[in-house]
Amino acid sequence: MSTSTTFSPCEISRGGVGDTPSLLTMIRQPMIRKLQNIRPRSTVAQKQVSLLAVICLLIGVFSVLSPHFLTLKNFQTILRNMPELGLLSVGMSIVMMTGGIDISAEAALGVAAILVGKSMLQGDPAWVSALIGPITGGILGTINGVVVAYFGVLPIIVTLGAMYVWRAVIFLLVGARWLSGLPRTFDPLVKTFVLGIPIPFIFFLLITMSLEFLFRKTPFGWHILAIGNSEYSARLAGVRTRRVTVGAYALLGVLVGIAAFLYVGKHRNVEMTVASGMSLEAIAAAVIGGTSILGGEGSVIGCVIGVFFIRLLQNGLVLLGIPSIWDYLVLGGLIIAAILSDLLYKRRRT
Amino acid sequence: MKKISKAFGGVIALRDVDFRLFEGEVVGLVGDNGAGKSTLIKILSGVYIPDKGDIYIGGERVEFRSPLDAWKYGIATVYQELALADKMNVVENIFLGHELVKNVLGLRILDKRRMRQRAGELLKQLLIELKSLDVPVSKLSGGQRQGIAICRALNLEARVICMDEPTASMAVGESERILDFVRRLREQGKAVIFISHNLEHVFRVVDRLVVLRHGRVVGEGYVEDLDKDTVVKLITGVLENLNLLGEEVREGTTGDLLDRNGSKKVRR
Amino acid sequence: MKRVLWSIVLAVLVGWAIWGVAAERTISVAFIPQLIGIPYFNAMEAGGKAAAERFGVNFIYQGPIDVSAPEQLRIFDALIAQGVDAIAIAVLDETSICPAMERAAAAGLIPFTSDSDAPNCPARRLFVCQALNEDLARAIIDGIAIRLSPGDPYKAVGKIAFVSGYPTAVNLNTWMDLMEEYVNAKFPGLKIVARRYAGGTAAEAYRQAMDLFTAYPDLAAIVGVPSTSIPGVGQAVEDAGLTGKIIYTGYGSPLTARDYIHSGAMTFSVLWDPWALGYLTVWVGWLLAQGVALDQIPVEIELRVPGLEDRPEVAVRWIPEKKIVLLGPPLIITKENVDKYDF
Repeated sequence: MSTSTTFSPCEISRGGVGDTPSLLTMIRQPMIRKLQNIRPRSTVAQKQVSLLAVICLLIGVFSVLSPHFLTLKNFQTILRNMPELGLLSVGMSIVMMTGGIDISAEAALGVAAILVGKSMLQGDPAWVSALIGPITGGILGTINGVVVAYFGVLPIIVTLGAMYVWRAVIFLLVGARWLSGLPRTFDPLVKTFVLGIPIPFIFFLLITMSLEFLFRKTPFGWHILAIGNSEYSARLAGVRTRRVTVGAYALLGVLVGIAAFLYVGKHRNVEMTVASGMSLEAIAAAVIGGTSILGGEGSVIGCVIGVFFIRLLQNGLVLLGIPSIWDYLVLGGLIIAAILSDLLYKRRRT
Repeated sequence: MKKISKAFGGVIALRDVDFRLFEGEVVGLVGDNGAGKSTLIKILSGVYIPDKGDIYIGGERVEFRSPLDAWKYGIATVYQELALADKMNVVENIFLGHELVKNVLGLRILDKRRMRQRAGELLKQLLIELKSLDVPVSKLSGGQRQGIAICRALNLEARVICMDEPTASMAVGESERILDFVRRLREQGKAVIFISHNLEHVFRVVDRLVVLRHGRVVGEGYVEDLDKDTVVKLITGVLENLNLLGEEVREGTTGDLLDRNGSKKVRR
Repeated sequence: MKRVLWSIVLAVLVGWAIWGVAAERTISVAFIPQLIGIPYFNAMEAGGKAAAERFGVNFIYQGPIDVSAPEQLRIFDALIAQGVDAIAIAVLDETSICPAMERAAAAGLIPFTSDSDAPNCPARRLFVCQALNEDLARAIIDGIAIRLSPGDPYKAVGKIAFVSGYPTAVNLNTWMDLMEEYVNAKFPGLKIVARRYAGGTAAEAYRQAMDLFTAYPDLAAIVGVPSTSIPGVGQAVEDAGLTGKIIYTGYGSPLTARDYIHSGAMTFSVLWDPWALGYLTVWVGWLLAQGVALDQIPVEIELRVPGLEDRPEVAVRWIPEKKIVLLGPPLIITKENVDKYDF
């Protein structure tokens, strides 16, 4: 008998409340602040609310169709599968808000994962192995950022090139011989639950929340968005656009490195094709979570919802016994739908 | 600014331009499209780096590599393209790049309350009324957007304010306010560069006029000595060259951008 | 009777060949793998070297550093120009390599395939085959059935799920189809409930396996079809607390499977011995180059390969209908023998 514990992701707080569409007409009384207490929902928040509605609907449908869906264990499984993609997606959303993109994130994850794995095999202290991830990721991210910001090459070109380079590095590092059966050094960290929640998920949530704070409460967030609106304008306004852009890519790199560490800790294995396809999934999660593919607006916390949505859908497909080939169709369709709706929304507003 | 030249690819935008500005003075910069007005302003505000020529402030030679450098020397600019972040709101736009922060545990945290308050004051000064400070600026009218760009420059407490077409998309009432405002800036002792196609506006607000044509200074003089027809002739090239300034101003020894002594000489 | 006769003929020919080598020049045999540097082909190379030493063959091992058919072709042509006696290739792309094989044959070389075949190419003399797909499929299902119902495997009852790799991988799909056919034909109590594609990553295999365990709480066995699925599914078995409670098997190399076989998460793995395959390849090449027309023998016979007698699961046979030299039945890897292999 499955437990009746229910989860209610619908209660996940609506993050990213910024600012708004609303009709605005110039009024001629000197009353500036009078109507300020009306803070209409932002477009990002609107997207997130509708996403939550879809999630609730999906949960409802899956619960009816599969007796195994609405169980504590199943939701634990979903949460377990979120952190690595989640971290990538959060970083990706920040880069996307600058109007950029990073295709190479998955390959950077591979490079970092191999170095973490090699360090574990060498018997380095756990903290050394753990730190190698974010350091490697940070370096690779910074390289991308510098090329994008200082050489003015299109991010998609830079990072596509970087992907091939990192993949080649992976090949050179492992020589097609996987790292298998790595020591169980990080098991206590990655396999433990606190109050029924897997620790890596808590870790991911804490990182996301601190980034949300960084994003909403410090000038960094404004600068990121301003660059995404128009890099030129942001520069005229006095934003150190290059430095901020490099910062965004470096931050993504660090998050990728943390994801690499979690990946290796969990799977104790690094294969040649490690994380392939993950960049696209991360972009999809970011867009679904409210980040615009065109840059200039978005939400960090929305990625949590976006990743949850993707994992929930994938979980439901297996539980409903739908042929696996549909996974690709559904995920592909989802990415197209999310991007199209983002673009159409823009068109309608302007 | 002395002997400033700038070319974009093969196109020469500015050729040996000398330009001088004194405290408490409003200088009008006029010329046809492509005459080099905006380029000159952008060199002064650090957006472009000149190919040749130097900039002096109070006798000291300076080099601007970014708008932030120019701002450090007290030069704020309202760009023709406004340089607003469309999807961001009014407060964010006014303070972008120069946010007010408070220090919390070593972190620079945005002081949103103070910025909101200051934004209100700035908008009030310009008599710009908005329904809310939380709307993205893309939702505002052209005049309001321009107002916000001006607020951004004002917020910087600059000594020199460059305004590139500040009244271009404004309604009559609105542009009146801007002109009033420019006069008030002069009273506060600030130097203002005023670029406009609207000679009516120019003549009502500036002290001195500089006419550019094909990247060269073709005319200079105090408004009292000029009339619109002459200026139009200079702009269109009917009149080749005209200098109505005294030698001591035109061939100033220092070439200073801001020069207290000079300003005393010139003010009437 | 005919078979015995042929065996005697062959034994005489082999004897003559060994004697002939001592008398004449050194034979050179080349092998082009699909990719160099990976443990699997490294093991084949080692086996080939061992055979080369034993039979006094000059063994040439060259392959692409990336899975690349054009690169294979380039190496093939270079070897023709170099003038080796026999040339074996683990084919990546049949249509591009076939004309090259014809060129080789015309130049007096002996082209044949090993590990991966080009069955429709007339110039290819024979195929040195590691294991028959049917045997590989049966090994998995038999292994599951006998563990579910030790008394009478055909009475085994239970649900089986597959976690495959990319949906486009032909060999994986063939194995899954054959397993399903075999189950449907022989095991009324067994049922294949899911066939999932996990692409090439451990993380994806992990996720799919975890979800399968939730969807089918009474799952009797799970099969990680490609090596890429092995660690992910193994981790999922451990994390779901199913170690020892579920039969986990698949086509995993000992290196990849070792950790999970030791922990008990993986019950057994099915593959073949690439070292023996490499050894056999060189032996076959050497024979053919000596003029021993192995491929002309019209009946199925057993071949005794000197040096392979002590390898378990090796039972080399010539199968004339398919023109293949078969290494033997699949290698079953369990706790007992997993540490003996390094590929």
